[in-house]
Amino acid sequence: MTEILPVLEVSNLSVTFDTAEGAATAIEDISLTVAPGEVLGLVGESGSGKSLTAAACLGMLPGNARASGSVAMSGEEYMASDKNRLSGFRGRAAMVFQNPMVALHPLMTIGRQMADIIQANSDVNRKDALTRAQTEIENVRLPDAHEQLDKFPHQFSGGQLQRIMIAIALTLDPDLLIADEPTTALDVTVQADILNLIRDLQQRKNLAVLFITHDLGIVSELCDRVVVVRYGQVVETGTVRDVFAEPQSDYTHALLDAVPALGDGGVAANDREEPILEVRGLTKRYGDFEAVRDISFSARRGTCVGLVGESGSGKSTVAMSLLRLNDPVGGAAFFEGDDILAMSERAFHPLRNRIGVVFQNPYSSLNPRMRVRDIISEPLETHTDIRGAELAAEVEKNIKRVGLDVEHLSRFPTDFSGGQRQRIAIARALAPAPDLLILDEPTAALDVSVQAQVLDLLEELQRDLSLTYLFITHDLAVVERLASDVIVMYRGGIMEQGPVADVFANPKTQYTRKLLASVPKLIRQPA
Amino acid sequence: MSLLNPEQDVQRLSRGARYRRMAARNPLLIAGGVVLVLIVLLTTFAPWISPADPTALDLTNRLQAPNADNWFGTDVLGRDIFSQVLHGGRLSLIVGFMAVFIAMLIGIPIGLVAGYFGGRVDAIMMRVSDVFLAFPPLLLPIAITAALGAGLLNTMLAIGISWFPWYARIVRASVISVKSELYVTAARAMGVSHTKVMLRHALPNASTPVMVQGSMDFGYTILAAASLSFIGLGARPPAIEWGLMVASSRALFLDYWWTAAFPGLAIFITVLAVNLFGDGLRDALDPKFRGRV
Repeated sequence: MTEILPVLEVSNLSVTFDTAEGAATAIEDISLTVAPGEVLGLVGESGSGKSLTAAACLGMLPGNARASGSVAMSGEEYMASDKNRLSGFRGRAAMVFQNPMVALHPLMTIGRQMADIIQANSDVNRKDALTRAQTEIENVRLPDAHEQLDKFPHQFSGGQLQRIMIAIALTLDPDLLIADEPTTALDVTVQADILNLIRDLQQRKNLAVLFITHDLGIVSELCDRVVVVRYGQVVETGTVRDVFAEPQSDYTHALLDAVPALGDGGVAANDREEPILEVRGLTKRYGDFEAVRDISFSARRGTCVGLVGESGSGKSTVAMSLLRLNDPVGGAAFFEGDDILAMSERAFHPLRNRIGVVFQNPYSSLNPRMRVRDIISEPLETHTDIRGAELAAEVEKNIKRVGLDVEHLSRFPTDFSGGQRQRIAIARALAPAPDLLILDEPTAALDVSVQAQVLDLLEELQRDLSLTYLFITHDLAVVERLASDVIVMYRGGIMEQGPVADVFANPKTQYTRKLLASVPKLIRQPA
Repeated sequence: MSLLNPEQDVQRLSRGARYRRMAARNPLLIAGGVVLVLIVLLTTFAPWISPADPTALDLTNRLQAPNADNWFGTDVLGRDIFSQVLHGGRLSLIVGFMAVFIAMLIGIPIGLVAGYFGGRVDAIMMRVSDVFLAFPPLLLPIAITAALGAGLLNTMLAIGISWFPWYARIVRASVISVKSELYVTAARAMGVSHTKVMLRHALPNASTPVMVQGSMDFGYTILAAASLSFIGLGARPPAIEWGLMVASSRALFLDYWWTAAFPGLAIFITVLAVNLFGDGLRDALDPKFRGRV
């Protein structure tokens, strides 16, 4: 037989969960193949069953799951439920997970963890195992590999840890690497490095890779073929080029359209209006650590200012200072001419209903024990005297404004999806009719199609209510879509600031250039 | 199914359905609960149920072994032990309940304030409550009743005071975990006052662990109340109370086992039922098990 066997062949895989209400199907009839040396992108939004598919391939399904269908690795078939035979296959397929911070044992050195794995899978002594571990660390391009082996996980950054996870995955010389959202927890510049590394290793070792992600940009840059899944079913399969250029299904079409693309130019600057917020020399220290250093910017009424930076750049600290939730050590922030940082809490209190805030995580920002009605009433009860029917009318007005129904008011936040929760959080922020809204990564926890809807809503609200936004994000494309001005922060300081069109077209600093270059580009033109 | 379509509203089970499911998964919770309800009913309606007046003396009929007329036998003064057990439970249950209530009344505000404000306030409040924990469990109530004087009210106070640090600790721990939630930050950003944030956002989160601890402590406080009565620091004759009944049979029970066995058994069954109920409640409300459909 001259036919080349696929490294992984999943046929008609279905997974159901036994629940109290009966069986719930999570994956239905998924089939996919990964050829040797091929990178297959498995794309879908949260809950689509993409991670579960990978887990089923490695026999790592939860206890109440039942799988049917077959999985074959290099032609050898096995059932996802056959635990005894699976251990042999695990060595041939290795997995890299989303969050490297929790994937390693915190009390063991990297070297020891790697050597243990090597020794568990082959008959070598400790010294050879450590040598092997060192080689793999060198392969993932961590400097001074010898010293790295003696370090503990907490001594590494997220990006370094993900390199180590990849090194561990490769110690077993797998035929297949399954990467489950390996860069989602990482900053965009670090993500670019990791993706480069994976591409490099894949080509050098002719690895087959099953790359699970929600980011279509990554698929566009990294993958050969793509499988789009939704609600546990395959929606579309094909080469990345074909699918992205001419998607056959409406869902893929909508998904591609929802991705904010970088390079559209941004919102025109508005220099007619007076600044509503003017920050001068804002500085915040935690002990000796300078979280935010000498930040100055202004926001004109009715505009959106984007505050961009990677994790730890201090962008959320700025938001906290402007909300008076931390005490800056220096600087001033003038809201309509009054320095809010110099005010007493009592004097600032009436301003709290003029400065609203929406946080990143809608799962944590709404009290799960309060009904939506009470959540939206809370700021009104705090700042106004309206009660009873008037209050109810006001709450109803706000829930409708964010696209939800009045009947949703008597439910609890846990009854809603992430996107709906974020709408509730926006309704709460809007209830006291603020002038300035601080949006701290409001779409980072949401799926791309939901993100697009929330951005639409924010755009509409800004227009209708002439709101001013301070939009904090790590996503440059989102900034480009909403903001007229942008501030790029790096390690607590401002790297660059100005109109979005100028900064994105002609970045002046090395860092901004790198940041812009790191964003995975979604290419949809047929080649 | 939410797993399949996250943008669809998650179906909310009706309250009844949730309770039925909780019951099916926790036979112990149900068993403990049923026995507990039965005991509460029996003792509450003791005056109507009991075959005889528990204080009626019948010296011709003293120290009778259990028989058709006196199911649990009679004591040294010829009183019907079955009737006494039924009546005696009322004090035991009330004292146990009130002791837990007093412990919560003191412990919850302390834990709330300590956990919410943290820092020095927390350090001082928690060190003070640690002092109460440093005593062996029954020694402190003994010392307090000895100081205040024997009596039922003092028993409740004494047990409540020695038990409050547990509630302070539980509430403090859950307040600290809630404090880092964004909805607390959001409330502060909106200008909601500290008191309101504490009562509206922090306290409800502690209600589950407090309820569980309370139901388990109820057993201990009944036992503690009975123990105090046994050593003469709780209920005093002519009051009828289980611990007191066991105490008064101290000299007799080698020859007349039923005088101590039945009140003892009543204490045992009540405490066991309460503990089963508390354990079951903890399992049913444990976030690790909750949401697992």
